[in-house]
Amino acid sequence: MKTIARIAFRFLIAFAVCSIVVTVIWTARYLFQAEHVALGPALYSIAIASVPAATIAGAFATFFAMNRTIRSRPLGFALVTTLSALAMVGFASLARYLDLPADASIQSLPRSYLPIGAWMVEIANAPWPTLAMGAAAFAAFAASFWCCTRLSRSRPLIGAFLAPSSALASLFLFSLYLSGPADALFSLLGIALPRLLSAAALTAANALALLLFDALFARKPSGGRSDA
Amino acid sequence: MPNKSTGFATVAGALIAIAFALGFFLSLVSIGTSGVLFKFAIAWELTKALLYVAAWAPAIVLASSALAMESSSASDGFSGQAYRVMAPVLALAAIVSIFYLLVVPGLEERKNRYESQSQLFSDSLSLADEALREGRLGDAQRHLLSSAAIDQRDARFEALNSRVQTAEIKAKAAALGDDAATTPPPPKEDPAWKAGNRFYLEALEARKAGRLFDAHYLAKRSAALFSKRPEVTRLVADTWRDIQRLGPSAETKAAAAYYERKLDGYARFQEGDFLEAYRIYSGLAAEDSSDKDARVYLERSAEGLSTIAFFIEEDERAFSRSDERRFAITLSEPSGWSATIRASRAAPSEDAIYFRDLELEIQAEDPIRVSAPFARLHGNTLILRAVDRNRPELVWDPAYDARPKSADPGYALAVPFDQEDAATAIRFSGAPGDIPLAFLATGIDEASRLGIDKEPLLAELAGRTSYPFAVVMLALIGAGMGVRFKPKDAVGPVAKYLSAPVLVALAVPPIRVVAEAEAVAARAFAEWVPSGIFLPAWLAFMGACVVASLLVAARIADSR
Repeated sequence: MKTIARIAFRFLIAFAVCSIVVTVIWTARYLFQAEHVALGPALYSIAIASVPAATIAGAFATFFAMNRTIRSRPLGFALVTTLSALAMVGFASLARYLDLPADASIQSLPRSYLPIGAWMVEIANAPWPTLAMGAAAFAAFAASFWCCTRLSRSRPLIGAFLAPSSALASLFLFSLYLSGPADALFSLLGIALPRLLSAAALTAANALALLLFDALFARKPSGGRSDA
Repeated sequence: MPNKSTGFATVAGALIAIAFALGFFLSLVSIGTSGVLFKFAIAWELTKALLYVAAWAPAIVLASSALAMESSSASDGFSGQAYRVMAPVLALAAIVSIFYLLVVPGLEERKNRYESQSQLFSDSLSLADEALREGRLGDAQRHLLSSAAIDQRDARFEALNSRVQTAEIKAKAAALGDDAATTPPPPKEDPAWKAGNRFYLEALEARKAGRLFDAHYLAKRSAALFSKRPEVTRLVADTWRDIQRLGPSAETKAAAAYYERKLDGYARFQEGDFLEAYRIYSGLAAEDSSDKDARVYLERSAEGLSTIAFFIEEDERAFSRSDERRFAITLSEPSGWSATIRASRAAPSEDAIYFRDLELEIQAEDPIRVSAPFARLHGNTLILRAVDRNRPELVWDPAYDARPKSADPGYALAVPFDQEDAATAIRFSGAPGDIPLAFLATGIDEASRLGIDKEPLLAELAGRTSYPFAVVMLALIGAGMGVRFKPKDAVGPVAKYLSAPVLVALAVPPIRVVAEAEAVAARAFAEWVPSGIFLPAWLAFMGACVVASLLVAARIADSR
């Protein structure tokens, strides 16, 4: 329990720091671009939009602690998935119950991140089942990147260098799943799915593929000091 | 020695060499789409390769630092090993910072110059080609001048230049031969014409030989046989006139004419019509290079001309050696006047600043609005008239919308800014990345006085000064990672060398993301911190970041 609590604490710290830093930077960007500024709504909207990035940062910061403390892959995966999902649903609920206004300020987000930010604002206001499905799929997707930190036991440094690039790659992949061509994939298969559900399906499929990769190629976490 | 045991220097050297080779290869691959002229190809590729090295240097510092710590004997945490292993790492950080601060702006400027000159060359050729197709020979010549200043050996330039010259010759010939073209062809089958023509040719020969009486007689006979040829009638009249005026020899006449032109040139020189005097004396000097008077007055009229015009070759020389930049400054005085000067391109030389497509507007009691295709600023005198030295008939004049009473004919104006102001504006009007650090640190207030937005310049200064701090931060964090992620067994040299470029490649994207965040912070400081305390505040902020990263690095290392 103590280990789990320590990992949860590390996740929360990384999540909070990343969320604050990213919100401050993107709000500053918005202030440079906007002519008429409504700081409060802009801050709320950008904070909500930053949740996926903060979740990814929290998950990746947790992986290294888990490599040293957890020996079971399913346990580690379940732990990060739960923490990520809770963080996302928590933020979405906050926005929903406090009725925080969505603002056009998210249009000032970096172009590569804009679809993800818009997705977060959208699912925060979507019906509960859609929110749950979207958050769960994204959380599983974030957790499934754990394998990237355990690729080489003889050179843990490789995992340490791979992690930040993998975090960026995960955001890039997720933005692809939210794009038009990804929707077109389902139409091609003759399946009509709303955009949020098609993105959730693709994200979950990606998570499964990475879990398979983990089982086949990545080292089992030793729970000791030899891992990254 | 730490670098002996960790192989730091070898790894860092190898990574820099690989970065240069890869950068050169990428430049080589991309040159086809870059539009850079063949003349600049190698220099552009080498410059780009060095810029790639500069861009990847922070990642190289991070990876080298991590690899050095990974291979070191440190096993008891970060701080104990810091001094020994970090010394060469920090030395590399210092070298990389000096390279970035002092060399990279020059490289950026050079790369941009190659690209902009290549672009200008192609654009000017296209415009010249279009003008030629539409029959605007003057415009074609003018656009060709821009290309000629950059590369006269390019095959496309040579081909188009030859077409323009041909078109010019044809146009001149057409103008001269209009009369002949309207004359109907002679009826060459007519026997009277044939006989008359024989006498006509004999008359021409006789006239050429100086036998004027014979010439007149033969011309008369020709006209009697076939009277419809105007050239024969003309010859009869001319030879008769020659007989009547039979006096001095042709040489004497030529000498008299030469002297008359010399006198005319001198009169023009005395009247201050230096352009016409220059035209006359350049013709005389070409005819008789031994004539001392012609040479002296050619020089003097060129000197006089330089007060109201400049030679286009000066403009070409300045533009061929300089990065061409769009130019705009705005100045105003509380006393009431304001001046705006804009030019599509500007280039400095040793003694003047040259402009193309200049527009000047001075709002004052006596307002001025003028545009000129070429202009030169020396001191605070703006010369708006350009002359081709080899073909003085080619002149580019200004066009006034509002002319001051005192500026007649308005080829030279005294303006409320000087050459130094213009040079400052040129230095600050390109991409901020090109500007040398010394100018950035000392000239931002001056640029602001000239109406240049100073916030991008402050942000660039912040970005530039943050580089040494950033590489030190990366060196510290890399060292922390090296201690924290040390393997159980020592890493072999092959594995180390093979993994080093991979680590650099993996480090590049996250560093780029962090650099974007740093750019936002720099802009925030530029916009929201008063310019008086901008630099100290920014340096203090970066110092705080270094301290924070030292703590983070120690935390990473101690979590082992």
